This record gives sequence, structure tokens and C-alpha cells, in this order.
Amino acid sequence: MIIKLEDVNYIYNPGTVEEVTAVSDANLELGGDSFTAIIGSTGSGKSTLIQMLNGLLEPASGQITYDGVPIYKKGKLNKEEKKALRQLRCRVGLVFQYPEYQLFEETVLKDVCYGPKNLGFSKEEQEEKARAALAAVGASEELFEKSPFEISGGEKRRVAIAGVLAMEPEVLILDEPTAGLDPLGKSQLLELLKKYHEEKHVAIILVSHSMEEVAQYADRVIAMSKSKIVLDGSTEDVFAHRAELEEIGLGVPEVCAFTQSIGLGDVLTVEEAAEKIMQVYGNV
Amino acid sequence: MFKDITIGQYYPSNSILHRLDPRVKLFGVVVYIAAVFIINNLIGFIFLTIAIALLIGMSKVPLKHILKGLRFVWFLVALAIFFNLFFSDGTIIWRWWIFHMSYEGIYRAVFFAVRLIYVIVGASLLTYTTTPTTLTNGLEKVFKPLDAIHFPGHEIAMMMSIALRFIPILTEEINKITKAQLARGADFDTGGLILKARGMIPIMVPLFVSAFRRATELATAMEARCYSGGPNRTKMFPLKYEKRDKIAYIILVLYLLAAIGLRIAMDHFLTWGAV
Amino acid sequence: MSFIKAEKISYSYPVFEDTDEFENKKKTEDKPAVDPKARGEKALKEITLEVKQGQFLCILGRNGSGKSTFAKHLNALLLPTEGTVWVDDIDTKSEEQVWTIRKSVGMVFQNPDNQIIGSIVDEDVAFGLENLAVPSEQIQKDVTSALEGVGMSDYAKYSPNKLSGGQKQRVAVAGVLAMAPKCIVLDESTAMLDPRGRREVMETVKRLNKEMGITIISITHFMEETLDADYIYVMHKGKIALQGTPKEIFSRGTELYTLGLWFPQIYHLAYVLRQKGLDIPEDVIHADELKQALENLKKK
Repeated sequence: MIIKLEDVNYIYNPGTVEEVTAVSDANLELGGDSFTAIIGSTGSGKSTLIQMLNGLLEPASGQITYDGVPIYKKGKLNKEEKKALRQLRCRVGLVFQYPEYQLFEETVLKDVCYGPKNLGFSKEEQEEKARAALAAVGASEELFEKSPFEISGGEKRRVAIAGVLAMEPEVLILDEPTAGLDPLGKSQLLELLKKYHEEKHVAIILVSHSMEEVAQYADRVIAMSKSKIVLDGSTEDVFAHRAELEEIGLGVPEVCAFTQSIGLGDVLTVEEAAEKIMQVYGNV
Repeated sequence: MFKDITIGQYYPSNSILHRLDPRVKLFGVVVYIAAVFIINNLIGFIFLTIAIALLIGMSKVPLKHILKGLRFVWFLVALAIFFNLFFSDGTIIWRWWIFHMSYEGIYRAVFFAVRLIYVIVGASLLTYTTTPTTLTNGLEKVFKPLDAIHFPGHEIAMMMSIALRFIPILTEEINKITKAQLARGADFDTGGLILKARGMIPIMVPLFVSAFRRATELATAMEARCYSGGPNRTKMFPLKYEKRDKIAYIILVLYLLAAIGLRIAMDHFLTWGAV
Repeated sequence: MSFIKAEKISYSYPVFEDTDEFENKKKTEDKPAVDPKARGEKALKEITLEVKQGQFLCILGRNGSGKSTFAKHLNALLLPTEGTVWVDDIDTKSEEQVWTIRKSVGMVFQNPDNQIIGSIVDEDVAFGLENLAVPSEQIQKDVTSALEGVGMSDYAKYSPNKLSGGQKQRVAVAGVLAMAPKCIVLDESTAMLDPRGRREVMETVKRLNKEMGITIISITHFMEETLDADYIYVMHKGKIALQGTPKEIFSRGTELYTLGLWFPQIYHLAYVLRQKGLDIPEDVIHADELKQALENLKKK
């Protein structure tokens, strides 16, 4: 699925003294088969943007189309349109920050069934989808019948993500999915996402504060600052703009800063840096 | 949802009313409300209007802001006017179907509406000019003499201030959880009452879990900062009466006496305009 | 000399299964929720460590390895079931000294919203001092200087709800700083912040460590935050699995992976280069050190 944004704006508390423009003049084409990262400081508009992508927030102006079809029309939505909007929210899956705080069912399996159930699937289909999603996040069978409140923090996070995967979205958006996890938990989760992306050809949009993470996994990066999209391009291109990134409170991965400092240009990962350095110093 | 409610939200300024001791202001609100109900005639209301106009002027809270805060009570006022206007007995001057209008009804409707608005404006002036913390400090002090009968004044004040701090945080939380469930295809609009109530479970369960977690963490944080309950605490800004507070007390007492005097005088010597 | 000493401390969270133990629950108040994994199992197993006054110490380890449980032992929020913790030579079990201990070891927790009590910044910073019954004038002075100490003076009259995450955590640091602590424990205090907020908080505590000699014990998942530490303890399943200076710790190589840790990027780069045959010293962890090492290679 291709999500296209044209001159999209979003304003909180319009017409009051507390009016804040959260997203201004966003023009983007997202989805397809890409692994996109959105970076930016807190309050830069990332969260608002991703909530617009799956129809949770309606833009104040501009248009969003999904494979060419807009979801919002002038005036109130009728029943059919409301249903279409609900279905869209499932086609564009959104995993919120700290998603484990949305768990509520008696068992893990039931909780993951919640999404498919809302989509009107039969009980068997719900379970089938839930089991597949739980398998995709590497949750073991023995967790299925446990209460989501008595499993560990890392397991909760995966189960919550499975809750969105169970709806089989065509685009998967994740808002800082690794926040608060330890390094091993982080890399395991990201590897799972990468595998899911490659196997199911689901587009992934990852919001992250870790430049290292972004450099390693994303093929496209969108940087936001003060409600505006300031950089948008391939990961290499965006991380070549170190000064701009630092100005908006971000930066480049440490290895990238290092290779730049010794005059070897931009790199994204440790391996790349090592290769570049070997080319120069390997036969000294 | 709640962010639209301006009524009662502190309006930062440095006016004389802002600087008054919260105990004086609490007493002031009591006196003022008493006066609103004691007064029952036109002259009295002119007297009251001058007083509230003076107070609003002194508070430096823009009148527009106060009126905006009132928009949630207009409905209540309209309802009160409607019932008093069309259903009061007395000298009937107009009648249609079950509705009837009387002179007494008109008076009652006008006075009732005015009273309601005056009470709300007066009470909101207290919260516009006093931060929640100062207000709870004031309440704590006011309740202090009740320590002897083991009235938990400090605990109530502490609970109030924590509640006030967490209202915006929990509001935000409800918002977040609702969106998270919407993103999982939840439908909070359709269905009957029971279905709708059941549909709230995915919001209520996470909300309670999160509230408990926050409460535990907050309790730990308070303990880590040496909190051990009410007695033996000091205050960064202890409440202390200034000269202006004493003057305010005297004015308030005089005002109350004047309101009572006016009522008695009117009841005895004049009959027009009485409700 | 050692400021904090833990000797063979073990801790198990109380388990409330039957009614008898439920009765006990009332006596042991305010215990955090039982982690199911810790049920019946010890959360801490015979931990022994020492912290010197003025040190910058880091504690690493996986989620659930017992770091936070251990941290709560440092100011008597939890008491060891076995072993002893001394803070400034006071046994944390001595009930009458508990306020002295909590005053000298302050804690900053993970979620900024769940540790700010006051609805105005300066009132929150004053909270600890008010609890300690410090005279009002003194509180005002201490609060002012604590806010200066974390660079938040301009926000004294703000509502905490209007601050960014990094600013809120600095207010929390100020609340601890106002009580003139000898030690500040950061329990994953940067976990919920963006890079800018993280930098703000870490720069602030590093400065407090250098300028005022306050001991810092930082529990974190961010490897970059540990590079300047004087000493690192790595916890695993309730035990101390590794300890040493950052260089000693990171030179353990792939052993770190099994403990759930990761290399900081520069160290990782140096490691890979070494694997590829470059002569880079084992203890390179900072960018300038690696730069130097490469330059030395050229000279040869």
C-alpha cells in the first residue's frame, strides 16, 4: 500500500490561545516495500504524523490517500465510512509507545485476538491469526494462556506488538518500540521486525531516538523538527547532513561521526566503518 | 475532553487578590455566598454587583476569560430561568397550555439566574486567583484545629494536591489508551448501552493498571524523599497573615453585616422588590 | 574510604500465597509488586560491593536482573533479607537513622511524571526539605541553589506539566540535590528521554559529580553513558557477573553479549578492526583514543 500525503497540516486547539501547529505542510509518499525511520526530538510532530497515517487524527488541511483513495470527506462520516475508517486503522497498523500498557484481557491469546475480533473474524480465524502473530514475535506457546499481567516486561512488549500484527496490516508503524529495553532485548526485537518486513513484505515505519538503530535497519530516513519535515531521503543521504541533524537535537551514529572526523566520509554501521578504515590502514 | 474546562483553572497574575492569604479568600467566598443568599431585593443586588465588579477588577482576570469559563453553566442557568418563568404560581399574566407566567415568576427567574451566576463567578474567582497548592495549604491550615478530633486535614490536602497534579496526566493516559485500542479496530460508537459499556473494558482495565503503577511509583518516590506523613513538616512558603489580610478580614465582616442589615431594613420598611 | 558497603546481601520479594502470609503483608508495608519471575526466587543473591565517596559508578544488566531491586537497598527503601548494607557506616536496618540515610542517598527514578509531587517546580524541589522540617528561609535558599545547580532557575514557577522530559528529570535531580545528598542514584532516569534530554541529564549529574564531589550511581541500558564511569558492575540474575573499569568490562568481548550487553560503537569498531588484524590496543573505548591508535599505525 502507498500512503500519500499532500500539504498535510495538523493543528492542536485551533482558534484558541494555545493553538499549536504540530505538523505543517507535510508532503510524503510512504509504504510500499520500504523500511522507513522517522527521527526527531520530543515534540517535533512525529507522533501526530503517525497518528494521521492510520486515521486516528484527521488533518486540518491537505489530503491523505491510500493507494489513491482518500478516507476523509467533507462533513460527517456515515456508517459505511466509519467502518472503512476502522478497517483502514487495521490495514495501517500502529504500535504505540510502551504498547504493553494497552493489554487488558485475561490471557495473552485472548488479548491478541482483540484486533481480529474487532474486524469481525470468526473465533477460529481470530485464534489462527493470533497464534501466527505471537509466533512472529517469538512468543512461546506456554505464554498463550498466561495473564498478560504476569509475564515479564520484554514479553509484554512483544505480545502487545503481536496484538497489532494479528490484524495483518499492510503497513506497520511503531513508535519507539525498543524504549526501555536492554541492549539484547532491543536487537532481538529489531531483528524480528526486519525478518517480518522481509518475509511478509510489510512496509515498516519506525519512530526511533537511536541513530545507531536507524542507521542499521532503515533504508529511508525522515527527520522532523518543529512540525516540519527537514530531511527526507535514503539513510546514507540523511546521515550525511550531520550539522543539520545536530542543530535539531539529533546527530549521527557514533561511528559515522568518527569516520567523518578522520576524513573517511559517512558510514552507517560499524562493519562499514571497519571496511573503510581497512582500505586506508589495512596495508600500512 | 477536559482541556476545554477553563472554569476554576488558575489564572497567573500578581494582583492584590492573588497575593491575599488563601484562608482569607476561603472565608471571603463563604461570606460572599452567604451574602448572595441573604440579599433578596434590587438594592441589595446593586450592592452585590458593585462588590463583585470591584473584585473582578482587582483580580486582573479579564472579564472575557471569566465569561468564557461560564459557558458550561449557561445551560443550567437557562434551565432554571425556564422553570421559574413558566411554572411559577402567583398573579398570572399569561397562560398557554401548561405554561403560565406570573409577576412573581419573572422576579424569581431573574433573581435565581442572577444568584446562580454570582455564586459561580465568586467561587471561580477564588480558583482563578489561587494556585491549587496554595489553596490546599490554606485548607490544611483551616482544618488544623480539627487535629484534636483526628480529622486528617493534612492527608486530605495532600490527596487533593496530588489529585490535581495527576488529572492532566491521567486524562492524557485515557486519550492514549483509547487511541491504542482504536488502532486495534475498536469501535466505541456503535451498539447499545450494554455493548458500549462492555466496549469500555479495554480502556478501563489498562487505565486502572496504570493508575496503580503510578501510585506505587509515586509512593516510593515520596518515601525516598523522606515523606513520613503530616506532623513535623515545614513549608517553603508558610502561610502568614499580612496587614492586607487583616484589612480584608475586617472588610469581609463589615460586608456580611451590611448584607444582613440591608436585608432586615428592606424586609421591614419596604415591600417593593422583595422576592 | 568506602561510603556505601554492601556485604553478601540477598533479597527475596515477599510471596503472599495463603492467609498467614497475607497477615504479614500488613506489617511489611509498601513492597513493590512481585515480579512473577522473582516469586519464590531470590531477586538478589549475595551481592557484595563497595562505593567510594565521589565515584561515578554504573550498574548494567538485563531487564529483570535485579538492578532496581539493588538500587532500592541503597537508601533503605528495601532492606536485605540476608546480609547488610552500610551507608556512611550506618546499617540501613537501623530504623531511627532511616531519614539520615535517605537524606544522604537520593534517588531519581525512570518515569518523570511519577516522581514529581508538587504542582509548581519550586514547590516540588522543596518537598524533601519540608519533610525534613527545615526552616522556611533555609528551604527557600536551598531550593534556589538546587535549581541553579541543575540549570532550571528560570523555570521555578512553572508547572511541571509544561516541561520537557529532560527538564522534568532535572527538576527531580534538583529535588534530591536540595537535600544536600552525598550520593545520587539514577534508576534508569534517562530511559524515557530523547537524545537531547538524555544529554541534559547526564551532563548535569556529571557536573555535580565533578564540582561537588557527589557520588553518582547510574543504572542504565545505554552503553555510551558508562564510558566515563570510574567503575562498572554488571548484574545478571541477581548476582554481580562482572565488575571493573569500563575498559576492563568492554575488553571482555563477546562475553558481554551473553549478559545482554552491547559494545559501545567505538569499542565495537576497535574490536572489529583488531579482528581484521590491525594493531589497536585492547583498551580503546573513546573516539580520540581510536584516532590516536590509527595515527600511531601510520607512523609505524
